[in-house]
Amino acid sequence: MKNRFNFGFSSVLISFIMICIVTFSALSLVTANADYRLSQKVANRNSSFYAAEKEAYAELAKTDDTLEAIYQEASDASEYYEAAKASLTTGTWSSEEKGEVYTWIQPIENNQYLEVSILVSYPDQYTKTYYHLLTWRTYIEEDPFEEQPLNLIGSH
Amino acid sequence: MKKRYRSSGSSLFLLEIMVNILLFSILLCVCLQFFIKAHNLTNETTKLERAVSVCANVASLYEAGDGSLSTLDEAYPNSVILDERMILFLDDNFLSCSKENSSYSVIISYSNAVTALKGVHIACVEETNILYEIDAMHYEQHQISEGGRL
Repeated sequence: MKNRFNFGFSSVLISFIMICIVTFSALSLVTANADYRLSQKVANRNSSFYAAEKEAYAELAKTDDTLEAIYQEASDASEYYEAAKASLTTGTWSSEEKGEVYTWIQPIENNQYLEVSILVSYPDQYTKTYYHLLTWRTYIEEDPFEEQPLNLIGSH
Repeated sequence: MKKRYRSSGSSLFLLEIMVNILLFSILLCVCLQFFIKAHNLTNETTKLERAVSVCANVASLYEAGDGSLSTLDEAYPNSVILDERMILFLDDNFLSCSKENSSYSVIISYSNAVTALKGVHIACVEETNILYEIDAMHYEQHQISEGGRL
């Protein structure tokens, strides 16, 4: 009886230990891989953000150059604003309480965007610049098809 | 007869143990590779995350500054400024340290320093291996001269 009891016990024990080791090793590998993929996603997203910022800065510099050139030609403020609206057509214009706001959007990745708004100003001895930066923000455009509720049984 | 039966049982038990140890060893070799791979991946992940964080910090500092590398010099006192390049030295934990104790370095070089739009290329490097790199910009907006028009 004693021999029969011993026989096979080590196999069961080893099998159990082997299952544990295989499970833990597989889990650790899967988790490490998932973490690595996530960190790569974060790195790519960061790169995309700075690439979008680079484009936005280039657009800002181009806009500033255009406004400076217009200022040299314009005789008064109204002419300056009219010429600015006619020249800067990449983005959109809106009239707000503060003045004329020029906005453009730079895509980052997928449905993420960088929005830049500037308040175009006619420079004088106090406000020596051609614009004031109002907005420099990232936002996510929500997909309208992302949430489609399904009617469950019994729900009305 | 009784002795022969015991001998047979013992040899079977020994055989079972040997087979178990053999299987266990094979499995351990395979699983050990999995563990080593997971450990290496975790190390890579940590390095990448920290490199991204350091590069983003440097980029933010540069963009918020005056477009020169002197702003970064204040934040990272152990840095070295060469002609158009700056090198930050980082230890194992990606903290600022002296050149002798450094394991990683961040190389910041001007990509465009002529116009009002100044750009720098930021690269986090481990020996010769680039862990992460980005470009950051700084724009100095135009102003009218004191007399009014330029």
